[in-house]
Amino acid sequence: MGKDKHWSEKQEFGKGDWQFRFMFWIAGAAPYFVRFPVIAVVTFFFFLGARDERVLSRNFLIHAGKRATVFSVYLHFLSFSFSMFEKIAGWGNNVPLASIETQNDDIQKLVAELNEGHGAFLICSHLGNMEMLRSFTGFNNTHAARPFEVLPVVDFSGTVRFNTMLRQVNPGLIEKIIDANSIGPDTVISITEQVKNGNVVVIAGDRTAAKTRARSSEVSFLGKTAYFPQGAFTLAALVQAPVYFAFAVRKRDLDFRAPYEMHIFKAETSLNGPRKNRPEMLAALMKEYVAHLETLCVKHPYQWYNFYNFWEHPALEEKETV
Amino acid sequence: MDDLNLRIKEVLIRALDLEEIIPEDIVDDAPLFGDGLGLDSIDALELGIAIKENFNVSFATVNDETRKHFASVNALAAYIRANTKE
Repeated sequence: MGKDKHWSEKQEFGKGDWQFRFMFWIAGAAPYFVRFPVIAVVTFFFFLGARDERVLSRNFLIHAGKRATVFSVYLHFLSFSFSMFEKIAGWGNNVPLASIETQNDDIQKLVAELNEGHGAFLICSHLGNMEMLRSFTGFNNTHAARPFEVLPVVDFSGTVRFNTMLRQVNPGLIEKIIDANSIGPDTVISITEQVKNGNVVVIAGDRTAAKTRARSSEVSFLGKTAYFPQGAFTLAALVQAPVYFAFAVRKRDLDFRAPYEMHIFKAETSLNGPRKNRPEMLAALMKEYVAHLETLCVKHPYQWYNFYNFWEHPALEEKETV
Repeated sequence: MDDLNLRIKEVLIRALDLEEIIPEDIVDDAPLFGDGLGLDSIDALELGIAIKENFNVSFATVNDETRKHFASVNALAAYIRANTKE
């Protein structure tokens, strides 16, 4: 593989426990005029130390049509730091629905589907903050007229410390998480049943599970050939549920008090065809997803939290023709 | 005995949409993955799902350990026999 390490091989930023306690304080108790400078300074040091991420950030900003100055790379880091604190709020279910702005898109279709008792398969992204989608699920204060569970499929490897933190914030949450690295027949069957029972499965379409990173497909992303992981799309085909693309982005990238916007798009690609047509169906589904992602990337480049080079051909351990 | 092998082959063909293959084409101890039928890990996943649905025998994950049971029709039959409750 190239010089960029896969994210599962990287250590999470920050070492030891005291950072967590400090982060909790900043995320929870500190007022904005304290929170902002603290995050800005901490981010600055991490910006100095994270050479690989600086390169990746610059690379992305250029693809997204931004001027990639040293300062804009720093702002990208700053936006990332803020998203971390917002994540903590999302995990604690402390995000009021009122702070999320829905759009005139397919959200009503999704809500109608849920109200009829159906489940859904949501493909989200590391652009923006998926945790904000959680606000959608507290049934009493939300759009849907019935309670349902949200089951995130997450790559657990390399995020042990993050999980420790998650456990502290919301212990109930971690039990619902499905580990992307151990998806087997039983998991797929259980996911399929959960969706049939009206629950929602959420998976990111822009990250590979550490063990399946060989499986990626070529797709045009921001004007150049990129390689996206197939995992989420393949799983969608196996689960056979209505597929939606879901994004939550801060309304203005660098205004950290701005509300979040939720974007929901129903996938138009049908996954019901014969199995032999699956490669084409998956390619079409991925293309649809990437097209939505692209539009939002150009609008919100600083909220791209994938410090990974999508345009570099991934090292293929078992090369497959799709 | 051979009845189970035949049923496995039928399930395999149905689950993986192997249109041009009939049960007689699949050799009982030929490898299913790699050289034999050339199945990949998504196929293994789907085959696992079909096996669970048809024989009520489950595979928690598809890893190197469970993969051994997918080596051939004979291996699958042995695994199903060993794990069937009746």
